[in-house]
Amino acid sequence: MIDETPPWDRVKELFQAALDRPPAERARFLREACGDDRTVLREVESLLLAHQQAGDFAERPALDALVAGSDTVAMGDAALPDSALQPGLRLGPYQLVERIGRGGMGEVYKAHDTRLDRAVAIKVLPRHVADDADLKHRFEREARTLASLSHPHICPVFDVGRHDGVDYIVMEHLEGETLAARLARGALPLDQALRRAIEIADALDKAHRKGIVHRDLKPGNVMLTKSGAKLLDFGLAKRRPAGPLTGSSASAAQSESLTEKGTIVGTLHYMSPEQVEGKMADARSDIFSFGTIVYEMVTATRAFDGDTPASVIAAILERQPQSLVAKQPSASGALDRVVKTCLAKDPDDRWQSAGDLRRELNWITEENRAPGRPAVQEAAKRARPVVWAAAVGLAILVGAAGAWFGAGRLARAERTAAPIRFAVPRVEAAQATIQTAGFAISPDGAHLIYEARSSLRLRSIGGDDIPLPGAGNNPFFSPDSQWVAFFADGVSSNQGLQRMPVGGGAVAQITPGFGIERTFGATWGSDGTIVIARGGSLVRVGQGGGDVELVAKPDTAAGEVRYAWPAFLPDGRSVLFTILRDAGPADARIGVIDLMTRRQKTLLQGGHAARYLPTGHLMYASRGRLHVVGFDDRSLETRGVPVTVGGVRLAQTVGGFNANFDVSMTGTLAYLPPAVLLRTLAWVDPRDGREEPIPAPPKVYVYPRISPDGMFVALDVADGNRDIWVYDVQRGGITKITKGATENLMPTWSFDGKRVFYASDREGGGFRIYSVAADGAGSERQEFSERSSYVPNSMPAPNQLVAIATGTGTRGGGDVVIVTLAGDVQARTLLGVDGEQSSAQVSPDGRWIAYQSSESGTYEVYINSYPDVSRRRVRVSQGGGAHPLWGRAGSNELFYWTLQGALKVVSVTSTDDIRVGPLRDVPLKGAYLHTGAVGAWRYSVSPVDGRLLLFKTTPGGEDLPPIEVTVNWFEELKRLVPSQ
Amino acid sequence: MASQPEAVSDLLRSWGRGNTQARDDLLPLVYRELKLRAAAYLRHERRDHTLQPTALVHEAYMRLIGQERVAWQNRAHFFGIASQMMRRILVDHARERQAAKRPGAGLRVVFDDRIGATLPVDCEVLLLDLALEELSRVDARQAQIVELRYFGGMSELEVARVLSLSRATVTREWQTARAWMYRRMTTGQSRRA
Repeated sequence: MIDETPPWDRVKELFQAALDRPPAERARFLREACGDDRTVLREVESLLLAHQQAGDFAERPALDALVAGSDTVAMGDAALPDSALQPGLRLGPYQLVERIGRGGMGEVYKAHDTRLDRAVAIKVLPRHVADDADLKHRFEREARTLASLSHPHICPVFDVGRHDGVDYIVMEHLEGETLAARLARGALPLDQALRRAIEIADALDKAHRKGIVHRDLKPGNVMLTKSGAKLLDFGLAKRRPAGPLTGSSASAAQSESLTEKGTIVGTLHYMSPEQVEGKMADARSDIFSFGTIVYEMVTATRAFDGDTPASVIAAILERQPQSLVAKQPSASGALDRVVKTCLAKDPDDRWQSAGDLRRELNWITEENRAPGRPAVQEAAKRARPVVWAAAVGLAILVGAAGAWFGAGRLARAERTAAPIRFAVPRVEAAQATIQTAGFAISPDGAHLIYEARSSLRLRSIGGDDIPLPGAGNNPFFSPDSQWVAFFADGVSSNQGLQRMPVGGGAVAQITPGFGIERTFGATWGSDGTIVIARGGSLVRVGQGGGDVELVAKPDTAAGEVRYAWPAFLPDGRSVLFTILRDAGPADARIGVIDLMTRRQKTLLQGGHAARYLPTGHLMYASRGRLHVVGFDDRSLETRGVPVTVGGVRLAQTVGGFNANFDVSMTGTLAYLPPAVLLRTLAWVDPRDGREEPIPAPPKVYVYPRISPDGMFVALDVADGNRDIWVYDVQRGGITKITKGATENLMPTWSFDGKRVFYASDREGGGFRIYSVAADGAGSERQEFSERSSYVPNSMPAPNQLVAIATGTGTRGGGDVVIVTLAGDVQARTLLGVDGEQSSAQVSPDGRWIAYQSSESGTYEVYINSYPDVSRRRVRVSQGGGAHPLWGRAGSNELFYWTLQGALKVVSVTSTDDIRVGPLRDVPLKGAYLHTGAVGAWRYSVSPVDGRLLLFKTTPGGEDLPPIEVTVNWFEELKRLVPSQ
Repeated sequence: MASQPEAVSDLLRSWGRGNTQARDDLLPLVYRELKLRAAAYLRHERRDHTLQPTALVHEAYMRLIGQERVAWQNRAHFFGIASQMMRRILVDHARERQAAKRPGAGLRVVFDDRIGATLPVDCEVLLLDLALEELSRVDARQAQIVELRYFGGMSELEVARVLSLSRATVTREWQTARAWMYRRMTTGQSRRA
């Protein structure tokens, strides 16, 4: 079936080899080349057919086509006459009146038959048909057969002719509209639908008896006239190939193309499974198509639908449409069975002749007219209570959600279902610096789970907050809200996926550790499948454990970097996910993948972390805002224009793309707003941890550097954007020394302490190095204009700057470089080892350079000889270390942070070689900021007296803001996106 | 501060030397340039017949790089990302036009019921974009060729130079890609009930 994809390389090779041969030889060439491999043969033939049909498709570049302003392109219609024939022109005895249609099959004109004085319709053949003698011959023969086929419900062919090189066929001119146009206004009344069905079945019966199969039966080919339904394009230029399509000759394939030409877009929905698979179609294929038409006439919905060819094909091949009665309660069970039999996947299981079918339909009509049968009106009455039941169900759910808020709120929720907002404070909330699905809300809206600093915490909304055993990340709920699952954190690696009952109970392991690959969200499906985004790919595992199986991995050749944030759709087999691309978060896309067929497609661009809402919408994040767009969960296609959710700002983290929101099935929205992290400054004595507060106002201090004389502190402060400030240690004042609305960050003192170097993105597209006088006087000047991102780290000598050349967006660090600022300004790579290097500083005696590197797989602190870095290298930290800083000159000390947040110090004896003494803890007594390995130095060491400058977190200041929760949020959504 | 053309050619060179950050830096510059120019065309402001829209990527190249000598490999890089950007710009444009024509309806194919179907240009662009997305998973090189030709407006010869392929290979791959996409786009399409 469709999953048996023949090897593409082989198909391509044969297709191209066939194209190199004259058309007449292609069929034989392929038969010989393919031998018994029918799958490949069929695939190549279908591509060759497409090639024949394609005309000048896509030959005109998109911009030209758009600018040309033509509204439509007739797909594949290279041969279609460019200009319409002029009204008044005569083709034989026929005088053209006006053009009434244009398309793949040619142009259709209303004309006057001067001999018989009547209106006719004339179809002018496309040149590619007219120019092919064999094709034309077949076409004419077919037309003659049809002309002999007189039936009240088949549009008759009167004549076939040629005039001045223009080939045409003459048909009856029908007044009316197509069934397709009629269906656009809704279903047909049942009695009418039955009548049209009988007429069509009768027409089919007559044609089938003459050996003509329509093969393109669809509402667009049925005209509704005063005298009933008339089939159009019946058998026109469609001949059954002598053998199966795949083994047919080139000319048979061409006659195929005639059919295909006219059925460019939109006909797949009515095709039988055997046609979809490229097998031979017979009368029973028409019966299948007939079934789809009846289904649509009665219900106004397609029997098989989907928004991509793939999903339509899947529906035709695999799915059963919903029963007719369920869609249209006034339809009888008998009609349902008749249509079901038409729609059987196997032709042998269908009605075997249109005659039988017509007799069945006649019988149903008789039954309907007979007294005693439940009347249509009664059935219609049945439908209404269903709607009410659903509404009551919703009210109960709303009530259930409201119950979490005590009686007053409950009453209000029941009465008005108005949105209710409140904040859920997070106990020892973790800082959202790492991309993780930091929290989740249960589908029933009753519980929240979130990542805290040392554990996961489960909170019943409006109730208590329970710490779960051990730390974990990426928590998520089971679809029935009874279980919570999470990835347990170990010391250095992930300890696997675990689950525990929400109501309390033992933790059970689903799978053991996955290694250190990062998790970017997980989702739990109704059949017990868990889909996890791990290390950039999507994997699946059963809720009871078992093998972890790869579902999809990013196509790096196509610019995909990582898959993240999986979320099941209600069908239980399709999963939404985020595709992060190399152009960064702005180019992230939402995709959907079918777990059974592994087919995937992109739903939208410029968003991430989509969730399905039971209101028929997708919700997703983009640039710190939430957006909602309509979504058809059957065809898996978005609809309408995305709408931004007002009043919601999401916390954004490094890289800007995590899932900081969740929505329950009951309409409770929870999200994490951006944090404001106020900090104060303090001096700390590294020997005893004694603290001396610094009288500077609380600000969002990010990065401090003490001047060489110890008198000033340059600080990088986030206040909307980042700017450099200087704190005067003696006088106590703090002054901003950079200007503008761009990011100015990571200050470094010049060797003489008179200027401050920093990185700025004021030119856009990465950071360049600038400097400004330490007192803010004079203007800021660009020091280094290399078009790449550089951030300064330290200045070991006049005109010598140690900087970090940062890597691509997904990496935090880069290589250590030396920028020479005098004369020919240039950068030279000093340490370009694997992994990310950052926080590099040359020792006070100028002989060593300390830095952190992820080279070993985890962040460690290293010291290399300097300036010849190749002479000697030692690793200082054990089990992870970051952000080393040298102590005051002559102290022979090096400080660094462990990844767990302890500050360490080692003695470094430096002669010609280097010896690293034992590690000692710096006895810190207060709560000071550290950020693990990410970011940069969050502390500084005075070069004069060796004091540490640390950021003190204000009480509650480092706790991120509470989770914002809105119950009954769907009410708000209704106002935001009025339903279509 | 360096002038703009130098900046862009520097970025190109830097990227050519393997600095991927340079590519990231280049993207917004190229995108802005192309978007401005494409928008002018699409508003029908540039209906002079001396400049064909096909030349847009070349125009942008001339404006951003000038006559400077840049190694072909680097020019190839430029045309590659320019085509990618054009794709985004044109698909966005087509999507907007679609949305404007039929508010609330997503992508939709218009039917001429009497005789098969014609396809609005917007739809062709949008559908082709989707088909191309799929093609890229089947044959990344072919998808690249389509991107350069259809969205970047480059000739087969230029594509051959950009991708360091023979012209014959480009022709064959283009034909295959076209057939593949045509089949993908015509064997069924959405319409909402």
